[in-house]
Amino acid sequence: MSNLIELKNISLVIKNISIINDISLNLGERGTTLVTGHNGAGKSSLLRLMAGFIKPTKGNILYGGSQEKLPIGFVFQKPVMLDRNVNGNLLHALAYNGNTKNINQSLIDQTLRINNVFHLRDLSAKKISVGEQQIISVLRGLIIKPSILFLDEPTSSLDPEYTQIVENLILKASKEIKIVLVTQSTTHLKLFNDEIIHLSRGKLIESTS
Amino acid sequence: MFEYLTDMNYIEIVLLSLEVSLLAVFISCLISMPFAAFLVIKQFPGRQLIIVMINTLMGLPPVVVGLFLYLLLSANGSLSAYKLLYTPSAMVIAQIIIITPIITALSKESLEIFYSHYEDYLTSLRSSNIQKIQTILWEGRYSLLTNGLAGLGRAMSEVGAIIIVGGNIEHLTRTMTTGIVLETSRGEFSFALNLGLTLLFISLLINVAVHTLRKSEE
Repeated sequence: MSNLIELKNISLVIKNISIINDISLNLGERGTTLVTGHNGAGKSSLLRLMAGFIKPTKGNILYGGSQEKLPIGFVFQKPVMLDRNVNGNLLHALAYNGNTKNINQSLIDQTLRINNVFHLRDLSAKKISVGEQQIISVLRGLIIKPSILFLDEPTSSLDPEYTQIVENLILKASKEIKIVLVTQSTTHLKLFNDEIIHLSRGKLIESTS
Repeated sequence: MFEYLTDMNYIEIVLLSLEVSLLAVFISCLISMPFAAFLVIKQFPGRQLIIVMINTLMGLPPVVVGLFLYLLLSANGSLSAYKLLYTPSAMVIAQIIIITPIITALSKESLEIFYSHYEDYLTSLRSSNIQKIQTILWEGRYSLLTNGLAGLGRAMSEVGAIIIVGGNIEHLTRTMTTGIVLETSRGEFSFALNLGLTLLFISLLINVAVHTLRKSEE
């Protein structure tokens, strides 16, 4: 399997504090990669580096062998919803991304129907429950057909019912695209075990695949 | 105040004040809000200098604006060919110069909050700068409307600049504030007081609108 993301000797220093310390990694095109570690281990920073939100202090990140960024989806720990209805949030993702320009209402309706959340379509995205918001966040991340979906502890504030729905969505998506998931959940370690990266104090302790 | 509601001169003054100020605020919002959004999303050399200049211009004395504009628009000025001196257009220009830095600074403060919330999401979409600007302008629409209303309040109460470039000409460039100045100097306190009360009432309406918007935002 070819490498979708290559991290070459990545370091991140913020205000003289070393957050990530000389990490080199190769991630394949499909399946799940779990990023684990204690609080402050640098998991979210590593995810943000891979997603291109921040630049490393040292080292290179290559996407499919080049420095050109790939289309990605990102699901935050706390759902980030635009102040419009659910349909508007999905439409915005389709219209305002640098990848697809396929602004297709039937695609939105179909996506919502398949995932049993069509009833949320016309509701204000800020007023639905956090669990529902996180489902919409995952669907919004996937609807733009990304190469990679990054998720930063997406189920940490969800109840078991919504956790299971989100996990099923991730599992289904992992068959077609790359999933990189930051988690502290032991359930996730059993469920998504294609590849596990364990960090401690910004250093790569273990990488299993 | 009510006895003047049928006085055409009084109505004309109130309507001209509203017309000039609303047009100035509308044009100013078109300039300042996208510019504020640009300052929020884009880091570039000289950005801090621009922000310092905008903050400085917030305290621009209106009479100084009036004087500079007068010199530009008067017979020997470089913009004399447009024949704008002593017209409502000159008053609109003066108000735009005065309120644009205020609306820009307020909008920048508001939009920074929205951008910090949506920055990572927009980056994940690989949105262009134009798309980022469009998104935060829409997400911050209620705050921006509040800023626009604050600008309207400032424009409505302005007198120093518009009396210089407008000339306070009856049936042409007389507004509530310039009218108050004239009627007070002539000893026509009843008319001046009524214009003042009308101005106060409009300011109250603007403040109620701002307050209601802020509450609906919360």
